[in-house]
Amino acid sequence: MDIAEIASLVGDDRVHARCYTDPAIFELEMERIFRRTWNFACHESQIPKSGDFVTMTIARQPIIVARAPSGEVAAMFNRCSHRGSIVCREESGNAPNFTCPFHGWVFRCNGELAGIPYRESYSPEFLAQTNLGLAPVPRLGRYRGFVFVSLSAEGVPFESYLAPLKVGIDNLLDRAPEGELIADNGLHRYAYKGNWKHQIENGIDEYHPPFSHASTIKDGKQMARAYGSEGFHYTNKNEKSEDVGRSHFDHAEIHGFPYGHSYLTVADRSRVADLKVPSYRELLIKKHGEKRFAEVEEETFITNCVFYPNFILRVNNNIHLRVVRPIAVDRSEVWVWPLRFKGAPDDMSEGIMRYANVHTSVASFVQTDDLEVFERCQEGLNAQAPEWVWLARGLKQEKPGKHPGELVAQGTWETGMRAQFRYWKEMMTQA
Amino acid sequence: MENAPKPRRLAPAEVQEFILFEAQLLNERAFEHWFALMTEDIVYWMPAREHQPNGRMEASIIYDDRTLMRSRIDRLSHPKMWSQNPAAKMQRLVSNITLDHDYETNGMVHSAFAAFEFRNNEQRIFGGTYEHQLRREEGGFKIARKVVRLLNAEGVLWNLGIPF
Ligand code: FES
Ligand SMILES: [Fe+2]
Repeated sequence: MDIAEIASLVGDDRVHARCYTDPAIFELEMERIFRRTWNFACHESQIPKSGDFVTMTIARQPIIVARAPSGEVAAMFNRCSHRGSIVCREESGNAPNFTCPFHGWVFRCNGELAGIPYRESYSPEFLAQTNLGLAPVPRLGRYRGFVFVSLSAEGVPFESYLAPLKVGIDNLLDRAPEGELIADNGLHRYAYKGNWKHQIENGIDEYHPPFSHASTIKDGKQMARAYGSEGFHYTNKNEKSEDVGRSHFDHAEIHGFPYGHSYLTVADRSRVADLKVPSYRELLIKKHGEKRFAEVEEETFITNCVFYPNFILRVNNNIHLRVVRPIAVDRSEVWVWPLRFKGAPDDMSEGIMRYANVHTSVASFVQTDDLEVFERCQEGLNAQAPEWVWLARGLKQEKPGKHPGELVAQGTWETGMRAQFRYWKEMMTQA
Repeated sequence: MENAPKPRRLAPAEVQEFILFEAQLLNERAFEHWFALMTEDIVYWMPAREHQPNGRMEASIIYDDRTLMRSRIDRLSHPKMWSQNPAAKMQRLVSNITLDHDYETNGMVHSAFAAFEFRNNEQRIFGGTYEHQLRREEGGFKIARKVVRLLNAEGVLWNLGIPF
């Protein structure tokens, strides 16, 4: 596929349906986006002790991230250097080393080769090679417990990639009474017959909730999700949101950035429920003092940070990490880890889990209908006409933001998706 | 052999009939009648992993109290619950209904289920176990706690619309 052809698939206000349905494009995305940019891999609270590991696939490749005895975090391919078996089947655990089941080669938890059975049959030259360990993932980036990897030695530096969305991570950690997040509270995992982009776009789609999630609205109010929350009104009294020109969610903002990133802000302050839990509030005031606490409260304005291409960080209420794993052009898996703050009162953490179960579980009130809609999109996009998917809401009405290349938009505008496709085009047109 | 499993007593007809009646209500999508079987302090739990100690501090597939269960059922009758439009048909087979060793004090009943679901021209099969905690109220049984242990709870799951 030549560069001009790929470039022709993305316009300012539209993208071609082939971006979601063409297997050749999907293969190119793996190579030019997922393998070249940064992918979220894990949170360090999932591997606190020496020998702790997690496994995953990134761009469909098997990867291990482990805590070495030195305390360092190591990321390597889960692929025996001998003849290719994966050396670890578990999704998480603790192991002093990884032993290949095939012929017994042993690797340390930082990937170094520890032993080869019956080694006399190998020549000294062969054994002198330094590349017989598990191959390291080319680049690893860590920021305040968040571990990202890049499968390419070259490309955008981690610092630059992270810069636009650091604010979300920083705010989360400012709200942690002991300055730490825990991402080891079980997880929700689901699959759908649809392209990975449906999920990553959904992280900043505030146009859809009144419609896709109509079944969660009773008497004009969203069903209560958080403990003690009343559920908020979607619309002004006596108005159906379909009938008014402006959605409740337009009180929120979308910020679009370079590298395909975006974040979404809260539609109104009453939706930042967690800071109102009295026992938790007291802890934070004790940690920060009244003045700084007031600032932290003010800085708590982000709902979702969407790190392109595979990671959504939920920054308030049902805080969580959500990773999208592309499997095929029309199949994706998503893993969602609810977060809690270390040292936060149990009732608050329980509230987060409760919210997670009704929001991101595959049997929840919300995710179920998103998944159904993703699958309907995938089916619909097989139509030969129209060729285009419109991403025109709020086009050219945005205001510039503080960060270079930042665009600030109303909540329901498709500014986030446009940011994603700008970077998509930039990456996909580099041979 | 310290923890060798001990055989459990077969549940008496009265208990078996109650458990099968509950399954029938679900099979027939009689959700309001199903809800009427629950106690005020009902806990309806589908753990997300095999040895999950409880639903409070970690993610579950479902962990409903009465309020959430009410919302779950409200949604099921909503015409815009897209994931049940069209609605799935389900058949649950419940078997191996036995009494817990401490049934006299805890009211716990164990059973196994297989469930078949048909929706969108696709048939799916589920299996697992139930734990029912029964309580006598108003002359009949009520369910105080129901735990659904799905065999593939730890796997990557596809949309689950209807309660098990
Ligand atoms: S493939 Fe791993 S030891 Fe042979
Ligand atoms: Fe949604």
